[in-house]
Amino acid sequence: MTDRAFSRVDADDLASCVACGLCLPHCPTYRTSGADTHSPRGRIALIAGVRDGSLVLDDGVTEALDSCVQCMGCLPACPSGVRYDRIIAPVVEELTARRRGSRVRRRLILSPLGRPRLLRLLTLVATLAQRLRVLPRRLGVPRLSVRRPHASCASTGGGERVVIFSGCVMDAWYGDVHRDTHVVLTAMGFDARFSDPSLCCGALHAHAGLSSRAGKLEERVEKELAGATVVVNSAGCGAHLLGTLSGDGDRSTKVVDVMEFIDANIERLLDPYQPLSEPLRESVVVHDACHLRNLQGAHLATHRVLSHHHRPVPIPDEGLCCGAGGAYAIEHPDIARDIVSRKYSAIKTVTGADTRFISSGNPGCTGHLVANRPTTLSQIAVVHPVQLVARMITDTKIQRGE
Amino acid sequence: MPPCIGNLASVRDNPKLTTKPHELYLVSRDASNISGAAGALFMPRCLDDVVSIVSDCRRRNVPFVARGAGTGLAGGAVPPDGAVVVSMMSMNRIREIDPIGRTAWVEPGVLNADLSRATARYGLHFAPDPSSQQSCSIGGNVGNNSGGPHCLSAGVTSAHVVAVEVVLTDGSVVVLDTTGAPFDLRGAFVGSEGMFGIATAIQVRLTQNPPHHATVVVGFPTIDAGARAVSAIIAGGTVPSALEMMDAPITRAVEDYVHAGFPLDAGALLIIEVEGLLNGVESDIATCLRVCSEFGATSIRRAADEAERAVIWKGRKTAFGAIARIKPNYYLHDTVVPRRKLAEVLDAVGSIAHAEDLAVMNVFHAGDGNLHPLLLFDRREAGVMGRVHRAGAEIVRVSVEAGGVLSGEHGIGLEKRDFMNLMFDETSLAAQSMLRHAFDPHGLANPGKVLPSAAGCGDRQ
Repeated sequence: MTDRAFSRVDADDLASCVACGLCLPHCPTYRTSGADTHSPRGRIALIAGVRDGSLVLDDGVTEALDSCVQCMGCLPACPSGVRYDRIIAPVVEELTARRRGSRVRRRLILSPLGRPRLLRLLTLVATLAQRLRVLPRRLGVPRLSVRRPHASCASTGGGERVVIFSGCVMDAWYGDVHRDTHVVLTAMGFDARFSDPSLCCGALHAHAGLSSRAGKLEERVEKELAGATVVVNSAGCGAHLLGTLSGDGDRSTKVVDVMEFIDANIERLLDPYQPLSEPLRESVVVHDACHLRNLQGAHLATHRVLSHHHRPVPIPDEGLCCGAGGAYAIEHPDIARDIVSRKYSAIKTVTGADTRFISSGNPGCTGHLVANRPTTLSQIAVVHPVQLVARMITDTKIQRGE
Repeated sequence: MPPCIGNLASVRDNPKLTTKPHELYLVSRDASNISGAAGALFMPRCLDDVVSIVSDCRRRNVPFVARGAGTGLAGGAVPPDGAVVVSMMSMNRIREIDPIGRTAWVEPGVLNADLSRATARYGLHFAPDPSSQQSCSIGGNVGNNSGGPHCLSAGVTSAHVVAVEVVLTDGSVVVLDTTGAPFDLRGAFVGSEGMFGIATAIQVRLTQNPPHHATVVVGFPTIDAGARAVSAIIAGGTVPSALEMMDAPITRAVEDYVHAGFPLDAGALLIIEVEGLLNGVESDIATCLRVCSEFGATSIRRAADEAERAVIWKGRKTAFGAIARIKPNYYLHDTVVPRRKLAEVLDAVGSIAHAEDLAVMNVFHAGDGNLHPLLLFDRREAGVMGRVHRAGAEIVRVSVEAGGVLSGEHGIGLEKRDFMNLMFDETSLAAQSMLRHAFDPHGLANPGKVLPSAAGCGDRQ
């Protein structure tokens, strides 16, 4: 069996790695372990080694490949243009398929996604568990509520129509981000409506190597959202939707990250809400989600949008991943914790006693950052950047007596 | 089993050693095309760990190789068969920064660029800046006495190392510095390619960040014109902080990746950077550009801001990797020739590659005559390695004949070992062997490298 392992990986993709090592510092697992086995260069060599028969696909190789967070930090770092994304995806899928146990476990963990009633039921149970303090904090689940604060967001009826992608986890757990997204887009004069919460993009399934379930979910989304302008406030969903919707399918469907959308239409925000003068701007530490930075190349929009009313502060670690990675933090808690503590070390170099916010555009990162926030930084809240814009709008309205 | 390998099996009893095949597979190579076969891997976390493994290796007569980030291009970190690879990447703390004395004590696994990032808040940096500086370790820089574009004016690693804490083959720990001893043993250690022991801490000199700089990209119709301009700039008395050249094919490959706005119609590009006080910078850059114009410069573009400067350097420093856009493998050489011979040798390099039917690209430190011809190939093509090695050998021969040397900064490692006698006579090779013997009488530290007939282990290989 092993001789045919990884035969789906493209031979030219593998050969395009010249092993220069320029990817190494951009890999979160290599950064924390220092081991060649935990680096993109190493993983590519292992895949090539297994493929050409120099190595046996044993537990060691499996662990090394499994430990990849798939943050794709190596992609923009690679001068050779090695398509690590195309190399690792079929490998993860094959590894998942080879291990029945892990496949079943992953399917079980992800089963509520795309099934809103089941997810809401589980959320109800989890909310109770959270109130009773029996839900482990390390799972990174935000403070839950059975209410969906965005459920009452009504369509304004006027302006250009945009669809806010409801998503599964965002809808059930981050209703306040949805509500704030609606506040901002409405204030900018758009007619914003939510997509059906049963539409799940399938990103987590694809990330976990469950491609058939992912495919089914993607197909539904593609059908339901054809032709719409889809504004996404979960970077993970956004990156996946970009790959599945804007690819060879219906090209008229437009997928855009909410901060990128605001940036592209910034005059609609700045007209009613003039930029603040420099001394009045509050500093915000901006965490760039890998999905925005490495896959969509859209992270700078967040910095630009925030720069009008806040003072965005980049984290001085060259955009290294935080270790959340879909279900990664659950499956590899030790590595994920090492990675996030490195992230917080970098964050600490730019925070002061008056820092109140870290912005994060991806729910996975948000949960992971909150769950692992060191006690010395407990005064800092992790919020979606759109929430800061919404808060600015609300505050201004109050000041104006509207 | 090679004759000098002792009882590795008993070393393997050490619980901190790993012998998993996939781990050994990866540490059996570096960024060159050479690979070996590691016997075991050890990742020390502190000085005591290093002392224990080195002592263990000594007791059982097993060779060991210190390894950094594995970005070396001359096979220096490639283990001799059965050796214990000691990966220093977990010893990666910056122990202390002394902004007043402008020094820092760092562990060998600290990445070059991380050190400069950490000292930025004091307005200081570590001057040696190899193109791999994002990835390569300070330990590796010390082992190879690494250079980089800005070493033209700043000097290479040796000029920036104050002291080194070393574990010698017998397990003893010494601090080599310039005080007290009759010899500069620190200077001997820097560039010893892991053959004198393992560095466990390094005191580096930090350099003040320049208040101003000017970075200019100048296009020339031919490499020849650019090379003559380089020689004339330095002959005129101006030493810019960096003088880098890229030929047309590599410029196209790089531009495809970084979009730096490099002129694609030029036969060669010269990147000139001048640093210092504002007036000095302006007057020096004006002098450089005047010389360039005299030698027929076709375009001049000055970086308008820090972002433009960064992208120019990104283009220059990622050039090797960008090669894969053309062919999957490259063989990178690193010879140095006198500046006035640059044009002539580059011409010869072109003919050599042509004769072996190989594509060649050039990106190099023109200011110090350090050539980096890249021969491009696809390993999967039958018989190609023979052609590549023949062309490589010929390039070395031509460079040495022109009055040059084997290596500028990548080291000798395994790659250039057998060319050493092109440069050194028996007496000087014997002297080098004796020095190595003085540090490592048992020949266990990275044996078989650099010296073609080293004392000890290398003799018998």
